Amino acid sequence: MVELELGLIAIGAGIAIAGSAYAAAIAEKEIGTAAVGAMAEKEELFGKALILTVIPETLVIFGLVIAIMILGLAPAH
Amino acid sequence: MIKTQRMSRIRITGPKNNMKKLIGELHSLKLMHLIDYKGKDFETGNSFAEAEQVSDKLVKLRSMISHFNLDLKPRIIKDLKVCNGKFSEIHLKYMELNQEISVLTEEKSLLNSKKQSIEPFSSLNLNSNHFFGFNSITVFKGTVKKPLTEQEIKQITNEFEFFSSVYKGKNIIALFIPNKNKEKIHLLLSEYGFNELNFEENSDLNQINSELNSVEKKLSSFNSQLNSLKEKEGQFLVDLEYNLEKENEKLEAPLKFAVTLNAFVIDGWVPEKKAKEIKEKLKVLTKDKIFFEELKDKKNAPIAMDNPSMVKPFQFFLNLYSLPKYTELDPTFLVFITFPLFFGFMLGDVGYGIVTLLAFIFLRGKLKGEARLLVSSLIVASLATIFFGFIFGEAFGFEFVEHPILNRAHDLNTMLLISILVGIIHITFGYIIGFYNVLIQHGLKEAVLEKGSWLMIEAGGLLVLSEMILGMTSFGNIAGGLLLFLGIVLLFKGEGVQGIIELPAILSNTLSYARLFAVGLASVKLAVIINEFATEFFNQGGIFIVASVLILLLGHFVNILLGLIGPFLHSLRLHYVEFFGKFYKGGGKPFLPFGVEKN
Repeated sequence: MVELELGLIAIGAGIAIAGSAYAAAIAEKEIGTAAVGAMAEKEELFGKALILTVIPETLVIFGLVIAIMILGLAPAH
Repeated sequence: MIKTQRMSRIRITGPKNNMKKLIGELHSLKLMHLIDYKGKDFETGNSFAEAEQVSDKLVKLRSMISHFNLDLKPRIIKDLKVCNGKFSEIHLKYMELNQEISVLTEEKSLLNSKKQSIEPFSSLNLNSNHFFGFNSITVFKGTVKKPLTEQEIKQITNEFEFFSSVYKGKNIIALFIPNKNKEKIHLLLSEYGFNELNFEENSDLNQINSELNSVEKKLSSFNSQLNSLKEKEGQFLVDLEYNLEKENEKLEAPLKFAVTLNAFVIDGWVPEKKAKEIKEKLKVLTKDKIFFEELKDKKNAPIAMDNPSMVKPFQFFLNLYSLPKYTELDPTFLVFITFPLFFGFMLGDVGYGIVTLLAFIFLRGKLKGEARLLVSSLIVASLATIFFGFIFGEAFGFEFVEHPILNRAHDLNTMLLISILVGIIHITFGYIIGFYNVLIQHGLKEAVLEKGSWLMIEAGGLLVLSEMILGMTSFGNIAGGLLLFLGIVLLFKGEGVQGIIELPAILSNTLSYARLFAVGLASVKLAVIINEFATEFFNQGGIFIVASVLILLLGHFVNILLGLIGPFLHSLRLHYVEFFGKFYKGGGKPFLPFGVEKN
């Protein structure tokens, strides 16, 4: 039974990462498109465009933190 | 270092007969940032009379330089007057050659199109005269898309003469028929996708070829003359353009001044330290005939960052973002300290650090300008990478120390804790600087409301949290809760509802620093996988050893590239979003002294 538990924990951690990464990807796609568009008009915006584009990356970090916390539930072996 | 260079606004008033001398001196001093006169009380000056001539020359020069595609380093010319004659000579020659070349090029293209229409018929063994001089016969000459046979024509008429062949993959036909069948044949041919080729009577392919030949010879001779002109005079042109540009700047400078009938006023910024020196110099130059004012006003002063050469490369990150305002602190020094640390903490590998260090040292010699600043800053970051590599005991993903100070692939919780702690310290620092900035700009009350409140919220939150984790006494809870509450009240007073909405951001900002270890974890895991993969192949022996080496090289190459982009962007982001967001406004205008080259 321990095997199954471990597997479920691993899947849970995986979902935490996958979900947050997917969410970040969608957000970055939208922002990135707009940012490149704005930069085509005004090249000096690169710095600001970069910041706006990477803002959603934090989502994955949250996912990772959650994943590590979930993995912490795993029984020591 | 922490502040941008202090500036003084100065105003120089004097009689117009001194203006030219003064402009020359300011131009060579390269210390004064001129302000355009925008008032209504006086008129703005006119550029000097020679300006028109000079800009005319500049236009000619630039068109020549861009045509010749010259990329040479300009040198200083002492006496510009001597160059006038030489320049007109070169320009005249250039124009003549260009004229010849354009006439010949046109001739060549004409001949070529003639050639193209007559050449196919050489395969029919007909010359151009065979097609002309008929009254009752119509001639169709040209190409068809699919082959045409005599059978098809016979269905319309038996009176015809038909020639066909294939030339360069195209079906060439020449069809002679009586005028009366013209329409029917035309219809037939249009089904076959007929395309008429036109040429004149008496056009002879051989003659065209020989004409083409002579035109080409002439053309290449003119082209080589033009080329030798470029080789011989290119440097001179570049030098002249550079020096005339400077001359032009001086001649057009009065456009920024306020003038009256006999006097002028120059308004601008100079570094505070140099103001006195400039004043003395100008007074000596004009024999004390100018009036020199230093204004108290510091609003909109231009920004010149003032950092030691070690820190200077990191100005790149501010140029990329936005220059600080005059009243703000210049955070370059802080970026200099934390950027390499963050970068190194994320990449943290002795091997990768050495590779990137060597690569950047090599690149640094090849680059200039902004790119050079960036690479220089990355050299410092590579050093930090090596340093953290030793702490983590890693080289190319191998753990070369059995018990390193920190094992980042296994001590996940410790790494996470360190990252968050670094985040808390970094953010707190940001708020403290923000407090100072607001204090300078708007006074103590605003500073406490806007930034002090956040500091209280942070401290209170931390106290409560640590009590929850350690759970020893209830003192922390009470004190922390009070602090938290006070902070929120102050924030609401300072920033309104917007501030309250922003509250959760402090948590997400702090957690955001978890990327410090997360990015590194991904990098080290990838390196380990590459190594395991390569070891697997290596153990198979024989040809697999080569494959294993290839995997190692390619894998680590890719991982280093990823390892550069990831830590660079993430470290940058932590500075721009989490750190700068706490105190930095930016929006300063750069200090561009008169006489300094713009690029």
